[in-house]
Amino acid sequence: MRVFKQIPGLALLRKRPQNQIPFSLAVGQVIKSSDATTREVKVIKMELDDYLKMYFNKSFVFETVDKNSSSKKGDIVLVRKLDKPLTQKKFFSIEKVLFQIDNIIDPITGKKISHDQDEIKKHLEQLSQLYN
Amino acid sequence: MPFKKGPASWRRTIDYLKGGTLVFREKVKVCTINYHETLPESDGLRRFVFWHLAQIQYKNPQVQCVQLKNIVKTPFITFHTLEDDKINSIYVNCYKKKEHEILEYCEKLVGKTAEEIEREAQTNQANFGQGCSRYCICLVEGQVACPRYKPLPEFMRGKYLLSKQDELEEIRKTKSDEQALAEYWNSK
Repeated sequence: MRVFKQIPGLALLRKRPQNQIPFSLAVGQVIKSSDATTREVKVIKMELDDYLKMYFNKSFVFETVDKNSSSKKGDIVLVRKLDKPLTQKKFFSIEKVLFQIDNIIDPITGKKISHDQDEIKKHLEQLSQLYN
Repeated sequence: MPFKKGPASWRRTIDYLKGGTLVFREKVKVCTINYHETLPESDGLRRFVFWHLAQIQYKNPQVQCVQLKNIVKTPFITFHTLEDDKINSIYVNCYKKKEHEILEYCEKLVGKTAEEIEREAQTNQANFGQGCSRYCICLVEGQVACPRYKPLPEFMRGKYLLSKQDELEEIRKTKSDEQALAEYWNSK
């Protein structure tokens, strides 16, 4: 079968379609930072199994553009689809950083997460007094 | 009900999945759920995810639903919306709330009403084809009749245009195209 591999037109038939996510806005996690402005992002989508009728997670990994280089490895990030893609592989750009891995801030109370046991007890007692 | 195993296995039937009441509006694109797996404050959200998340994803296949676990201690839900090139995010606090309260609150905020869902589910009565009341447009008054029972004039048929042009020229010497059309409409 080596004769058939040398025919140049057959490479087009063997090309598999790119796995693209059909969303225009998505939430994902940064895996790798190769350049100053490119980041690799992992996005999760739920897909239905026909027989079991259950949803299982399927992950997609692709490259994105980061203009201000404001994200690090491990951040949770909002990603948006571009009208005009920059290269053949970069269709998305990073809009906003939701959770930074260095300092995680609770968006409802506005406080940082701390690991001292005394502060955790005070925080929980204050919240229970407010709602009881 | 196939595969009757696991806790509450009727969650995995199509009748239950179609019985969901939350249908998002067009502006909502992402729905993320933040909760903790062992703390007692996020007990209501855990039950909401157990009973209702599959229904939401079945009714809205274009929305991304993500679970983020064990990051922050307070449980909350966020909705990220896209409208006129502007991105907004809505936060819903779920500290010590029960699951039916969370569902009703989200329906008022972000969901479509029952009337709008009924209106979109009705089909157009003017359609024709398979599965509709009429199988072809030739049954309607004022339209061109079925050419099986009443053949069209010769200048409109492909058989004469492509391969029998000699006979077409002979016919065109006696009648013009407009006369042939008028005869077609006036005859029975």
